[in-house]
Amino acid sequence: MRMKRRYPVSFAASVVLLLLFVLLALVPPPHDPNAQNLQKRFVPPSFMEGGESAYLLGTDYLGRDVASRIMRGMSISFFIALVGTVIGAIVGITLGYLGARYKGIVDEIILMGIDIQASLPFMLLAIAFLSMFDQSFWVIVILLGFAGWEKYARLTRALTLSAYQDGYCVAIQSLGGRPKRVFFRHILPNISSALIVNMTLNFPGTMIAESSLSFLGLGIQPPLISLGRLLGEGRVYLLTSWWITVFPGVVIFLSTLAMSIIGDRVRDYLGVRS
Amino acid sequence: MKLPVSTHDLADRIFRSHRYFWIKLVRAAITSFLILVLSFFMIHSSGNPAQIFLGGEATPEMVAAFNVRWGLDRPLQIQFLSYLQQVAKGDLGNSLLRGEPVIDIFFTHLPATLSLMIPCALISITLGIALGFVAAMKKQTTIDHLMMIGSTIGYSLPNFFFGVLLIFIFSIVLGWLPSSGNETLAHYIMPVLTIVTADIAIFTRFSRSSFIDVYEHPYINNFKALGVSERRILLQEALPNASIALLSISGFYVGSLISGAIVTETIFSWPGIGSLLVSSMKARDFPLVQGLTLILGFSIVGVNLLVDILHGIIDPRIRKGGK
Amino acid sequence: MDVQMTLPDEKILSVQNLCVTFQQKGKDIEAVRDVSFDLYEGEIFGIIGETGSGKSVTCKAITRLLPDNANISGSILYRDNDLLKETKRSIASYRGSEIATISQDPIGSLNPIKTIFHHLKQALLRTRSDERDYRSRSEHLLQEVHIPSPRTRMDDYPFQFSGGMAQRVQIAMAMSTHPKILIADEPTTALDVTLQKKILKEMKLLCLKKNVAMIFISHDVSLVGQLCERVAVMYHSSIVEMGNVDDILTFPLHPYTAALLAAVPKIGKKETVAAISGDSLAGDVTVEGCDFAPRCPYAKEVCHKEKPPEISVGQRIVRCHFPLFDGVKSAQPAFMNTRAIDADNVLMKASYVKVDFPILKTGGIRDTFTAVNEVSFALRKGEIFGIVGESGCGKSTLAKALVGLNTPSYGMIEAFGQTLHTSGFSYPEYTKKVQYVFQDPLGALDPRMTILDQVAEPLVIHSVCDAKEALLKADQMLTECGLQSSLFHRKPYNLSGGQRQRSLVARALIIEPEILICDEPVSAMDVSVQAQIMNLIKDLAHKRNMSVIFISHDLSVIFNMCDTVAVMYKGSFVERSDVDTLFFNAKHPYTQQLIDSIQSFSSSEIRVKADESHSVHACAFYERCPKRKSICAQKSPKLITCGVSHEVACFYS
Repeated sequence: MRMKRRYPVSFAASVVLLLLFVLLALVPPPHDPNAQNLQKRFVPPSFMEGGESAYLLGTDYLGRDVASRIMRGMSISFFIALVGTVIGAIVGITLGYLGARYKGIVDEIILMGIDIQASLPFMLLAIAFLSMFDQSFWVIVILLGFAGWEKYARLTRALTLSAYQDGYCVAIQSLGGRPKRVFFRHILPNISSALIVNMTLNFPGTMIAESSLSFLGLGIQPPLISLGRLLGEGRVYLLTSWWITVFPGVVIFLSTLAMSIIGDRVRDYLGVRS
Repeated sequence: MKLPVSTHDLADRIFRSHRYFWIKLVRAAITSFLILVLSFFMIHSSGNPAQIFLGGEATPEMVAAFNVRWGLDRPLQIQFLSYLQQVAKGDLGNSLLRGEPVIDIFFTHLPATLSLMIPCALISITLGIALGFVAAMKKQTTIDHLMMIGSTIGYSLPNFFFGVLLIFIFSIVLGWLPSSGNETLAHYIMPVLTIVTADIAIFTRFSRSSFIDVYEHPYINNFKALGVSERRILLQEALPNASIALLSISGFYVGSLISGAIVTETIFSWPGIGSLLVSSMKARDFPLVQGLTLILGFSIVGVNLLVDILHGIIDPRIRKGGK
Repeated sequence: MDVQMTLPDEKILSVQNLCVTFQQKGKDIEAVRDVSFDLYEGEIFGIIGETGSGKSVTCKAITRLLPDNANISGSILYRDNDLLKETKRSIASYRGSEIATISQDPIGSLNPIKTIFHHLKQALLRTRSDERDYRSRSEHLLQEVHIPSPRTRMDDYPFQFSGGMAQRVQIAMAMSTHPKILIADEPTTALDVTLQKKILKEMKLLCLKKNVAMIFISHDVSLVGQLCERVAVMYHSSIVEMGNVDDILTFPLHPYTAALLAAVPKIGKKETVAAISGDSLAGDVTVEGCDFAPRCPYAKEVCHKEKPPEISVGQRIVRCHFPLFDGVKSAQPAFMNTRAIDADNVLMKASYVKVDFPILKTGGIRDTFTAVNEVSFALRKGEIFGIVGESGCGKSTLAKALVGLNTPSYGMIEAFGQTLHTSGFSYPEYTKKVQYVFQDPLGALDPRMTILDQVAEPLVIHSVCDAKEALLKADQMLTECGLQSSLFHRKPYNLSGGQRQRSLVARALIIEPEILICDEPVSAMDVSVQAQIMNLIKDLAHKRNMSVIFISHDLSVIFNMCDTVAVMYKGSFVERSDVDTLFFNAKHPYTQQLIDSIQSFSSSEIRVKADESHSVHACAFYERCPKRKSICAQKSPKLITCGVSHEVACFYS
């Protein structure tokens, strides 16, 4: 019904595109993404002159299949962004709820934490964090999770506070409902739509954050592949072999765009104000 | 009702009458302290700095000498205290690679970063607010929808990809613009474009929603009903209110500018602080990374505090204790 | 009316066949249909209607302050110029200088970050007068609306003003441009009753003095009756009846007007209010015949099929197929209050209950605010006990303390052999016996659950029965509360205000409590729905022999509902007795003011501010008391017995 109003085509296209990307990320790539073949270096995409049908999107400076590397990169990048988002959501929701429920000093501390987190830019925090620990897979996942917790905490805290403010929470309490019931049966289902919207809107940001780090060479390390890293590595060969760089870039851009469009629509549909 | 005022009450009153400012000040102090701790541990948690810097074949004697040289053999709390002392004196140590004081390296790179960031900030803010205002006034029309689609594309476009794409098109294919360095005005075009695209998108969105918000308030209608002109309502009523909302994100914006600088400067080999941070990070020049993080962290805290104080001063509800 | 006026012939505004439709989500929603009326110079014209009847939209259409998706047709002639034909730019020249508006939300209508002086200056800039001294002119304007020390107050910000003061500023702004017409859209709805009358009186005098015609929009029949000369009654976007106010209020011709008048609780008459059955039609619903036909007791077949004709009877106009020329058919037999109160069976006893809140005063002094100050009462079995007072008097805080949502700092609440907030107190046991109905039913219901599930929830919480049986019981309870089963699976958003409040009552009653505490359960409702809920609570209390504590700011509602009443002022009970005694023999000056304010317009003088210094121990009502003497400034009176079950806290009663 209401789903049909604003840019309906872009919304449908976004969903289809994202499903396609997820599918590509899940199926095994045609070539081993790390298999080098020095005879086949810098093969252009198959639709270009000199291209080979085995390499749809060409090969890179070590003769690795770009398409396969993108597919593996997608699965790792999506996974990191997803887990990072979930970690951020869990930490944020828990802290936000605790702040709203216990108020007083607990709330003050959490609020201050939120403010501090919001004021420090991700890149700076990431650099500080990564110089302390190894640039391993899980360190990066946790880093991305922490980068986003503050938004969920803020949202959960505000929504829970307003639910307690003379609203249904007090009503359930006056009926004899215990705090656990109030939170799980009433507050959580009610704030879930706002949280889902926040997650869909934050997901592209998390993905860009991870890609930026990997692009700079500070994120995911080989032999693991991430889309950002593909772009960063290929940049040097832009003059001769643009496909190594441009295709991963297009994939990142299209996935974040699709996620943003979906997020906007979900927000409008659920009637949540950002 | 007059209460007897004791010294304790007096202190209490001074705190409470400026509660807002004190809270912001305490927050800034705590953040600064956390940044200090974070930067201090950057050297200590990253495994063994000597090993990393000297390489695998370093002899134990060399490592020991290194640790004595950098004071790494003392207990942690002593090291932290002396670190604090050093920082207080403005001494952030020397770069491992270059041997020069970190603070000097920072200041040689600062002009390049500022010359890029200041125009970017000015362009993004003015253009973003103007576009946001137009979108808000034309809300739910085709113009608004187009602008919102444009802004969605703008902030979904990762700056590192956009920058690389610009280089590919304008430097490699067309050969019009230089792809690295900051010598001429032409060098500025692509980096500015890269940073500004995403930032305009964010400001457009934010100012659109704050203008819509302000214009929904009954006082706007009240002034309309008095026959006050639209222009006057915009300048006298809507803009001051919307700018308070915009001010609240400017602290966050400084942070995002720094993040943007780190990526954009690296792409365009811009000799600023962002690219310096990335290169020293890759070279494991930890004193330099530590020092830069500290300075940038402190500047962000400073800017945020300034913004908060400014907010408190312009918003009478805070200044007069109504909030 | 204290001033009799003959209508001058000069027509200042003539609205003809005004229609307003809003385009929303591709649908056209009709907000105003074929509305015509005239306004004469210097008169006060009232428009009565319930929420969504189109009265505000009509008035916003006059100065074209409607949003862009509004489609306006018809004509609005202001001194022979059609305002609907003016350009967007030229209409602005009428606003303020010819037609001024005062809106409902006094604080929200002022820019929060600008001073009061800024607001007045913006208004004065419109007058194109040569006098440049805006400050002294502003001071004069504020003086005219009785704002004390205007010279310093005009440098304050809106949040430093109370609702009444902010509304006075709005009036000053509206008057500063010397308009010919003043449109007042529910100007005092957000204010307390005693203040409401005072401000309206000031507005009326100001209009008379400056010869300004006023269109007064309200849902309050008695206010319109006291203030206006002519009145139009609106129902579902059109005018159903129009004419001289006294004629309409004493001899209504349209069944809706008659039903509306009957639904207003009247003081001194101990009969049930006659509720209008059903709900108002939703804004996007159109019916083929008469809009009121679905709820009309007189409706015949033709009413459901054809739109009623407009019938003129002398000065009056009525839109009805069968106007009530023969008078109103006497409604359902009046239900006299014959409930048995078991005087010996005290269910709940509050002794010296005091509730404090920590506050921060300006200048950063930490202090406590005493919301409830040593209040005592006993609630007997079968009694409906009313607590009346203006907003902020502490009545809700007291109610919340009674159900354990607030903790008293002093005093004791005992009920059913338990003492609240003590160690042996069992909260679950207590909530089974004492239930609470909230003021805002939309907030108190979980927006994501169906009302059937929500009504069943208390049974599940207290494990009274299994889930299946709970739903069955909830079904019965909702039916008993007058909801149709087709609504049971709806979520709160898809219900009307009255239906939500019925669900809330059902949820409170499902565990069969012995005491029901209702915190302003009808304050946010239209008169017709308010009457339904009042009757529902009364009937159920009677049927179940349940005790009720009923809290309201509206004395007429209290009089109609309750057996005994306590009047609360600034945290204390100032008078307590049974309803009749209080009405016929009120002793406390505050109670007298309250009764006066709902009865007539020419009420006794109300003081606004203390002009003498007084100690903190003074009587709480000292500042506003017309009868105060020197002793009142020194100590605060206690409740003393002054008759059979009648107590009052006043030295001079």
